[in-house]
Amino acid sequence: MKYRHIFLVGLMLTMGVSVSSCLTDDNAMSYTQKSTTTMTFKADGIKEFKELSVEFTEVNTGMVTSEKVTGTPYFSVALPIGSYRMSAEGVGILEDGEEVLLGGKNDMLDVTDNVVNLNIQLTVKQFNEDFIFEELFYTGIQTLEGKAYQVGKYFKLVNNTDKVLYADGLLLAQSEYLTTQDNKETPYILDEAFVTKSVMMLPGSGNDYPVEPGDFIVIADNAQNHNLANVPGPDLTKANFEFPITENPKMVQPDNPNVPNAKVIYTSLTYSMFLPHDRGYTGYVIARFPEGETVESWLAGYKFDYSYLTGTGKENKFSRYTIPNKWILDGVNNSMPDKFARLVMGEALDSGFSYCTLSEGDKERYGKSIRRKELGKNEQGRPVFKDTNNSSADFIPRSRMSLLEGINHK
Amino acid sequence: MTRIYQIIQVLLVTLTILFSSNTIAQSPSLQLKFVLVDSNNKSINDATIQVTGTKDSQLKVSDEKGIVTFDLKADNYTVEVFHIGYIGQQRKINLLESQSVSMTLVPTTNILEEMVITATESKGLTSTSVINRQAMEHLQPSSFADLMELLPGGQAKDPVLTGVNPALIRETGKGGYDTSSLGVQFMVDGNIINSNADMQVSSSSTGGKVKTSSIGVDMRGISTNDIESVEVVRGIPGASYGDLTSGLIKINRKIGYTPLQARFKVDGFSKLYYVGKGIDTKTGWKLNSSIDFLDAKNEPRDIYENYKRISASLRSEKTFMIGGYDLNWKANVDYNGTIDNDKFDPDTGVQNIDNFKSSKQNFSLGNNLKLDFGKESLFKNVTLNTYLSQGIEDIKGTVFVQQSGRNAIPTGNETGISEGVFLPASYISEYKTEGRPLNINAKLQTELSFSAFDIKHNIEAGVEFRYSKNNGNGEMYDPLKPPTLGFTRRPRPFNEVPASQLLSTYIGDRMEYDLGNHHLQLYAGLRLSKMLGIDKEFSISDRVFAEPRVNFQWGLPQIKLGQDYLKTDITVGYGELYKQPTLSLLYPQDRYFDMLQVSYFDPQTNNSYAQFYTYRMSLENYNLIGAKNSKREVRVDFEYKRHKFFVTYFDEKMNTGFRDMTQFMGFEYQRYESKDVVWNNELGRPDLDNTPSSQKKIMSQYSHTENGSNTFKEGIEFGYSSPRFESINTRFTLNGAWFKTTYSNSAPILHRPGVSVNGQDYMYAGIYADDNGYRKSSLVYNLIVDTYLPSLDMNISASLQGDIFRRDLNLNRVAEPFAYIGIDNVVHPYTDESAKDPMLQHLIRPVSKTDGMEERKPFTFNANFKISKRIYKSVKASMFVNRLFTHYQSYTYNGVKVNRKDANGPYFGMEINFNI
Repeated sequence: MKYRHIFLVGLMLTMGVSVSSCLTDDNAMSYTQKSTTTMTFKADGIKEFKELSVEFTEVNTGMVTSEKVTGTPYFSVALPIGSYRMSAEGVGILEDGEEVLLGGKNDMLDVTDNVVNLNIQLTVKQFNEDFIFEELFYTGIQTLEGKAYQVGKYFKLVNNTDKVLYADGLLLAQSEYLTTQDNKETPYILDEAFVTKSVMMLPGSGNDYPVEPGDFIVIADNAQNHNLANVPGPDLTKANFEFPITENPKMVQPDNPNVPNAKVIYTSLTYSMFLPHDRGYTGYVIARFPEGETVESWLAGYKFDYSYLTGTGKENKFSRYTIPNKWILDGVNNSMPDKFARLVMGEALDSGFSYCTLSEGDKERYGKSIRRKELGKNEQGRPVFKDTNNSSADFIPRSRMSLLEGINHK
Repeated sequence: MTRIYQIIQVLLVTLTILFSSNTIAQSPSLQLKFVLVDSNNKSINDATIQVTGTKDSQLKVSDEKGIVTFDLKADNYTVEVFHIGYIGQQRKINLLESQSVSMTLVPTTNILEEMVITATESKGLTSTSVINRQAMEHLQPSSFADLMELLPGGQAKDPVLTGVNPALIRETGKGGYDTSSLGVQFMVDGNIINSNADMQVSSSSTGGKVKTSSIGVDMRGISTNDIESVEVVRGIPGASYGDLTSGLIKINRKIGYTPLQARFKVDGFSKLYYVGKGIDTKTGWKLNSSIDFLDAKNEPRDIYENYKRISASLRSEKTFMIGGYDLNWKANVDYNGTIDNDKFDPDTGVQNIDNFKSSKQNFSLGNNLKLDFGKESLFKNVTLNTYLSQGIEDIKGTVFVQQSGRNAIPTGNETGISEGVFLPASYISEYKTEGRPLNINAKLQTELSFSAFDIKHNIEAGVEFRYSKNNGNGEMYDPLKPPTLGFTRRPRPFNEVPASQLLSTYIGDRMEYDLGNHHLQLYAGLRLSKMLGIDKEFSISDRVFAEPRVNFQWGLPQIKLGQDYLKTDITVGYGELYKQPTLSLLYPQDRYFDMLQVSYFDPQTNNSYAQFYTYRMSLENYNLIGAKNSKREVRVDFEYKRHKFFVTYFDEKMNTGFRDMTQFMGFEYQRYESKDVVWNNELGRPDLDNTPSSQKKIMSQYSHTENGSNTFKEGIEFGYSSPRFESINTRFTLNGAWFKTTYSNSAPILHRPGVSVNGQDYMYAGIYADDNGYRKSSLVYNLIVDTYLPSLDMNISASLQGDIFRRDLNLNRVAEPFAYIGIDNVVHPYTDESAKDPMLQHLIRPVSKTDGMEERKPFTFNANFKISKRIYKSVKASMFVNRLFTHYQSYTYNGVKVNRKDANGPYFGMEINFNI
């Protein structure tokens, strides 16, 4: 390392001298004068740059100059004087050895001097097309007295793209099947569609709920403060959406007037309840209806009957709904490692699983969530997340639930 | 046999006269008392004792307690004991002071025969299993529930003493069809146990499995230690027994002299202690007292959930002479207390706070008077049985309630709009249910007999009144600190519920006629009963229920086969039986529907407001009547060389059983969404007049009791018992039964899929033609091989029992409804169009291939062993192990091979009995 640094500094000095020697040559102005542009790339959380490429496009002539290096954040290129639009991208290596795509802003660059020193801040540009899950908190909380507190659960979705997204009409669905038991249900459909027991739909007519790149939304079961004297729960007062239970006489939850409600468009439970599995044996997906699909048309057309044989030969038959895989933006399987039996969604959606629970009566699961790994920061300084469609790799299992201090958007 | 008894009787009468004249002549100085018992400590009566001194000789006969007392002068006496069934004894006594001598007589014959450790089938007019003391001792029961194993079709079950044990006779059993067990009537010493005023209900979710209301008598509460014998009438009881449908269990307890008896039993779940003693004074006053304690756990390692039972009993019997007639007076004072305790496991509950206790105490006083007019008079006797019992039933609990978040509860108790309250997230709730059932029964009966046209008539006629009232305060808890949420009822005092009063009168005649060698017996009886004190709106109020009962027995002439005779009896019977609805069936608690109109809670301002629309509905079903069971049976008994065999075919139909039927009702109410709510700071609540609202609809489910359940019982019971083969001292008893029970609804069933669609609880309920029917059948065997070794006084038995087969079928499950009701509460036909409708399609239920496929489980085998032995003069030790060997044959169902095994493993226990 040290030698390399010395070498690089030496190289830069030599370049600087050679450039300044050019500057003394006044005659040079008469022909296309070249400038030496030296760039130093930086990116937060990047241990090493695997490869970098830069492209300069002269605005007037359209001339393109591109250069590529590997293994170094330093870079220099000779450019004729002019106005350039610059774009940089590359592959960095994170502290944990993970490779990540990087990119810079497409800034304009006026090259007027013979020597230009640029510090280029690269940000992570590993983007998705739409929302992805950032955190799922489904285990609930244990009170200081040791009782279960089965509310205060939430789904945190993030805009892991570089554009503004709209949460309007987003679907969040829970799997019908459990990852802990493979009943060999027939017909097998997971390669085409997700079998769901409960689906909720966020409100909005299309542009009501914009979400900045890198920003997140929280869909809370009940947008209240669950951080009480004896309950170490999250403060979900500022959640973006909630799905309170109001029809069940056993559970009449308060409705926060400041937080719009998601609508449970289908559930195999009564009272429009969407109940996350508290040991995390189900999977979840987020999806959007394609153009032209409505709640009504979906309800009419996507009922799905399946059955399986029990160990004693009984055929158990059920009627549920499906969501075609092509509508699905992201999916996460959850399970318990010792009991994991199968994935509950097509492998293309998620080929792994994450978990909070280690055993059936695991009390340590309370207050734990699964959280997606961060790759770095985007242009706005917000985290960018890893998504390889393998939850085993993308999520940190048994994490501490993140909203204990409340919800703060940066 | 009867001849022997006649001789004994004549002898007895003669000797009594002799003895009485002797005693008058005596000038008493010293008392010599003999207590005669057999090897089982059973008193021996009718034994003749002669004491011969140098100057004096006396002869006396032992009484029912085996006691003889002589008043003698000091002398050397030779004592000689004679009894027709026992080996005579002689001994010398030097009488210097008053003394008591206990003598154990050895039987001459028949002791082997008399040792019966199974239930025996009575040869009377109706199918009855008789279980005697020896059988109970050998079985080693913890509670009455264990005795049910001895009935045809019964099998050994591990006791479950931390949950209710209802009684089932002649059926396989199915949840939701509780009329079967409700219709089993228990009688103790001629007095019925009336559970009609049992209304106990727990306010918390704990306590579901100890609910006894409307399921009849909980058998685990009945101790067996005082029982002398039990008769289980499976068939058609006489007209003097009523308010029952399935069967009658008559318990007769010991009365009269017993040595001091103690029993200590321990098994995997429980410990049982018993002490009892019966005395018999010179004046002929018999007095028995006993105390019994059972301590059971849910499972051996679970120290948190347990069940305790304490019974204490004081029984007295005396016969007086009034106007030359015998007046027999029996009085019983009983205490029975049971406690279900549940201290919560600290892993799931909050230690030191959470607890649950359901206690039931019962004090009872029975007075049975019987005036005997002697054999020669027309009226044989008059009996008056009165019985009073007061129960103190309390469910008490404390629970640390942790709500998940803030929850709103309604506060309104009447139909209309009322403000709700947001409960604190956690609080301590105390709850109590107080039941004070009072039962009074009185029965006046007379028996008369006469002969006319060679027909001997034995008539019983009587009147009976049963009164049940619950004077308890019912459920009690702070409405703002409820133990659980989602109550669909509000607490109501039980004492607001009227009493249940049942007046019955009956007459029955047992006619005997000998036609040559044929012996014919016909019993014809009629019972009329009427519920009193019921509001006119109830159709039951002006109904008189008539219950005809007929049994006919034909004793065929004895046929000589070889050396011995084959005796054959054929018995047929038909009877109608009614069980009247209990208080909680007749007067159920009102149903409350609470619909949320506002649930506003702004965490930023802490402003909150909840509002409900409450609808109160009476669930009283004015059309509810008694559940009727019609029984038919045919029985054949054979006896040859002490081989006994019987087979009974029965067919019972009950199509008016009590059943909670699901109903639906649509409601409309206003919903003010929180986001639209305009908060008025001055009022401190929302200004709902200026808040837009929407009409919300909901379809609510509830259930009410109807005479809607069918229970059809059909079956064959059989039993064979061999004599005890002398060379091996072994008896073989095989009993078993084939039961086919069909449980179904007599009314169409309403069903709503448990789904919510488009942000709305599902708003339609389908009406399905034939549904929820189950047909269960089984062929069960129980082969008991028992060996009695008189020299060791040891009894060893093996009970090899299991299923020949067991079948299970869901009947006629249909996928499509024929009609449906919507929020408009109107019935619409369900058509092909409906099936395509996005909403109505959900009414087609997922009926699977195996729903209508009978499950056929083949052979199972369990070997249970029991041994009891007298280990010292007055000490007897017993032990048992159930399911030491098991085999469950595997089978194939729907192409799947199912391997079965005994999930629980062997179950064993032991006990020690003292007779001092």
